[in-house]
Amino acid sequence: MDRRQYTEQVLSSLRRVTAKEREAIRQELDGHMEDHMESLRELGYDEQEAEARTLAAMGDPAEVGRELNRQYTGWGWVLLSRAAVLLTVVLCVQTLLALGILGMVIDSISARIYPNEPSVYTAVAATERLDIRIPVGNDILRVYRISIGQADNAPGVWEAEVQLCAYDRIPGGIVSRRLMGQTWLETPGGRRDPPKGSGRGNWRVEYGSCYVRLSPEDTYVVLRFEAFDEQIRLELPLPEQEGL
Amino acid sequence: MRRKKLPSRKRQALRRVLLALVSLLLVDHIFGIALLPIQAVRREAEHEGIGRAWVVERKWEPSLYKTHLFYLMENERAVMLGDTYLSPLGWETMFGATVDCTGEEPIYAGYHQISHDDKVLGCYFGQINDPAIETVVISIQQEEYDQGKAVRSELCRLTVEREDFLSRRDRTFFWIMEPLTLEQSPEAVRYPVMIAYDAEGRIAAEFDIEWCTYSGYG
Repeated sequence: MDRRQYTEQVLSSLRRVTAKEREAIRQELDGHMEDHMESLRELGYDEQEAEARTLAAMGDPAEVGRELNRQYTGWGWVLLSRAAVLLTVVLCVQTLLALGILGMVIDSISARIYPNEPSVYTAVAATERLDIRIPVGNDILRVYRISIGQADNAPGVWEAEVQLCAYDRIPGGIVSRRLMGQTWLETPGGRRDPPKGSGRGNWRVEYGSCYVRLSPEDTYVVLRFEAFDEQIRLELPLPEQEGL
Repeated sequence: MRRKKLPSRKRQALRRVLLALVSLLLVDHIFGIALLPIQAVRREAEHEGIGRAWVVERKWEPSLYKTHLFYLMENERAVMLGDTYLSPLGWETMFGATVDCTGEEPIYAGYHQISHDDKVLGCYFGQINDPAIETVVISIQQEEYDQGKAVRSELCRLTVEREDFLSRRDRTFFWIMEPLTLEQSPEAVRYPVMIAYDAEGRIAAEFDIEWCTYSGYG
């Protein structure tokens, strides 16, 4: 009997192993015998003698097979393992189909680091960068810029623009699509203008702006939010600009 | 020669389960793919801004897609009607219709209209706060103008009695989904009106349902 025949005899007595396990056992036996023979060759044994001594040391192939059969029990682990592989494959396919969603994630990250949407005004009279983060429910409403520009490009009619973005408290989480619609701007006198409907958003981030026409005596505007029993009132000083 | 140790079935299974769980976490959080219908509807609730919400009831009818499911969700702040269906990207949602219930009103109601293949489905839902309310009636009315004056007429009535009210966590809800095949004047505007009655037949609440949303399916 040579090494190959020995291995085949061990494998033929295996009953409850998968094809992959059978192959792994074959490699394990081959490797083990090769190591043993290598040691014997280093001690001066020739090839045939080393193989014969190795096979003798390995023991009865039927007994080795029986011993391995006792180790390979429990199909539950095999089924669990295959179910896990199947789930991973399904998830990988879904991930490939959903690669476009990564754009939303990047958008959400940039809103956290440096939100920067263009102002609606072609010529901004005064502007100031802000970083005010207000918790609203599970989300964060971030006020990042206040500007003054000419309302509808009408000369002499000044308007305040407050630029906002919103994202979930947990990075990658889902933001409320209604947050921007429930936020508005007022003058200290209580003036409130209809929303202009600008903004954009997705499941991860919402961008928007609020506007209100200003009177010459206004030095600040009030950002308001109201929904689901939550109310926010935030006074924002107007950016200073000479001659305005 | 150093050889790789033969892994046991248990170790290999645990390793693969761990890999699957990490993938699941990644797919769930970064890509937002819902593997269960409830995950999709909960996401819709988050997107509607009501936060964590719980299921009052779910329905497989009407069957717009083979896997189409409708959910009525609730929490302390709102009641939401949502839907979900199975797609290659997991469970996806088409709409969420939310009613803010944070006030002291006896009843809150919302309306969502679904258009599908020239058919119209009316979905009426809400939260009942007044325990005296025994009957909820949705009066579907049309408003026309006659010599500059608005005139309303009732097209049909949908009624829910107390035994058909839904309960969850000490709160009471109603939910009607009915196909609307109504003869309506082309110039008329349709209004769903909520009328709630107590046991003696007295009106406990009456108002136009203002929380209206629409969705269409091909």
